[in-house]
Amino acid sequence: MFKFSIKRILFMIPSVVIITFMTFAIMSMSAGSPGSVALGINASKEDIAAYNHEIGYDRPMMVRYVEYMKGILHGDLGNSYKSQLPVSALLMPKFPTTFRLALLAVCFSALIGIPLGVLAAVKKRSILDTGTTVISLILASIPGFWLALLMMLLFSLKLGWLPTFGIGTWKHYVMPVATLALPSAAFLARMVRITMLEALGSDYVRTAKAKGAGPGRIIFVHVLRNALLPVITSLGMSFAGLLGGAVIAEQVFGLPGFGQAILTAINEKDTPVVLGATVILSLLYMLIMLLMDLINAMLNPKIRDNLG
Amino acid sequence: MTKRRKQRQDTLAQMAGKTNPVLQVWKNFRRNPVALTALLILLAMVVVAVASGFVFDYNTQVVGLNPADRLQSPNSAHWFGTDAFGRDVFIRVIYGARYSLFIGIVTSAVSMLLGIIIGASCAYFGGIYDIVMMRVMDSIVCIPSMLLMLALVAVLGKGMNGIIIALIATSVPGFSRIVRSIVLNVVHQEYVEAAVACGTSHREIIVRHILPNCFGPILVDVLMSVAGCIMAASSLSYLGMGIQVPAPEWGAMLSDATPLLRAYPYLAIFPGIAIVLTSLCFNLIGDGLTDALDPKNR
Repeated sequence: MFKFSIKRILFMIPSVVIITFMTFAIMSMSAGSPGSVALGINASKEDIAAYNHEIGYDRPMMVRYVEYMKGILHGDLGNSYKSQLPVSALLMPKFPTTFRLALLAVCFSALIGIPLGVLAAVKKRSILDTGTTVISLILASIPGFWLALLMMLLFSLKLGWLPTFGIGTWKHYVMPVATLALPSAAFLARMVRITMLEALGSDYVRTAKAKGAGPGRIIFVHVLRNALLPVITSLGMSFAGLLGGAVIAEQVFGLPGFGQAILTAINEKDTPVVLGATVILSLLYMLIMLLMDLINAMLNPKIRDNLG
Repeated sequence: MTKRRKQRQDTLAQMAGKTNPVLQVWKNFRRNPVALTALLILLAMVVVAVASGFVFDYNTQVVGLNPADRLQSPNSAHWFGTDAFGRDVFIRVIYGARYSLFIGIVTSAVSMLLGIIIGASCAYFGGIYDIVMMRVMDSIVCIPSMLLMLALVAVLGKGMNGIIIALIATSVPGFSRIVRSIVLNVVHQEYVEAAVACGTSHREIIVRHILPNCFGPILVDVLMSVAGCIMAASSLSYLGMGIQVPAPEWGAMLSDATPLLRAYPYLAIFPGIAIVLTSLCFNLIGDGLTDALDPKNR
């Protein structure tokens, strides 16, 4: 297990380099230079060039990248072009909102999706099974922002139960969390259904049946354990995806999270903020996937042996 | 006739092309009423989308301002009502299909092509090339796709080109992975080994022997990806990072409708239904095709 963990962690290093380099390269093609953003549209070309020279922006990209990476290792993501404040200081206060949103969404999607998927597989071809499949197909075709608008229309404007905008009470979180959790729950239910059906058809289930185990014991002791293994990875992936995908829920419901900060930064051509947010979320994604892989390896000796 | 002789005849018939696999899949597909309906609806949409370019005049009927008719609820003259600038929502929704279908189909087709090139070559050649390529693809997957798209749009500029390139960049890694795993399954089959033994060229083996056998599963992924691309494109437009108003892109229309949600909810309903219907059709066709391709159904 130790050997596996070390190997898995070492594998991350090239990915970190690739990700940071790629995002850095993409962002440095951006139209806005620090000078043009900081000095505004009325600044002369000479002033902008002088400003860029002063902060070292006119050096080759590779040099700036190496410097940027040195900064990252010290937790420094550079300064915003617009406000001159450190990017980390700008983004950190926004992080808890996004994190809470994604965490709640992933918890609710698991609470709804897993039992539904299990029931659909156990009662295959029942009304519940068909209903789950139909609803999850429809939810898979609804873009998050429209789901958000529909909910807003129904629960805030027609029924008046929930606030439309802002942050404060738990009520503000209901619709954003639902916007993120429902499609994710639908996906999860479909996936659990498939892995459950696979596990239900396997040899050890037949053996258990032959030994006289009851249906409850078979499902809870034998099938669930094996069927839920891939689900752990998928939960980790959806959590990480939701951290990035929360942009839309934050924008529609006016939550001051990462997503809003990114959209504002894009409109202001404030490249370091966009870059910083992308790097933070990508690294977070990798850490979550690492965690999921380690959990999986702990639970499943086969994976450990493949890499170890 | 002995059993063995019958088998041999069947094989010969197959080799002579008497059971066309494409025809077989179509036969299976046709038996699925839901998927067939979805296909018909989609074909109708494509026809309407193409025709709308000839029927409606873009400058007057689609984006032209008409203050006299502003914010009318749906009625017999304006089936879906009119928006804050007096434009007919029905015409705009119909016209909007052009953007969504075009973006969805073009991005998925291009991503699939790139995915096939990368995935198939990785699976076929293997070695260090495979490892490096897949590492890069895996790393791109680590960047949350919404963020990667936003970052690319920030660099490339808002609009059609930005959206298309951003969508391609986010969907190629997934395609390469899928194609690679599908091809890996096929590469180790005996008929490929036989072709190698015959001295067939790499290109010929990939194009003639491997890809045709991977076509079905890849097509399913393309269909599902079209649905995903349509939704992602409308989301970007909704955020103001994609197709810009006044163009009648569905996401952009919904973005316009949001501030008016309380008083004029119908503005937010019809473009949304259009998005859901289109992506649902692609998803259903993909689902139906998966079943039709299943060898158990032959």
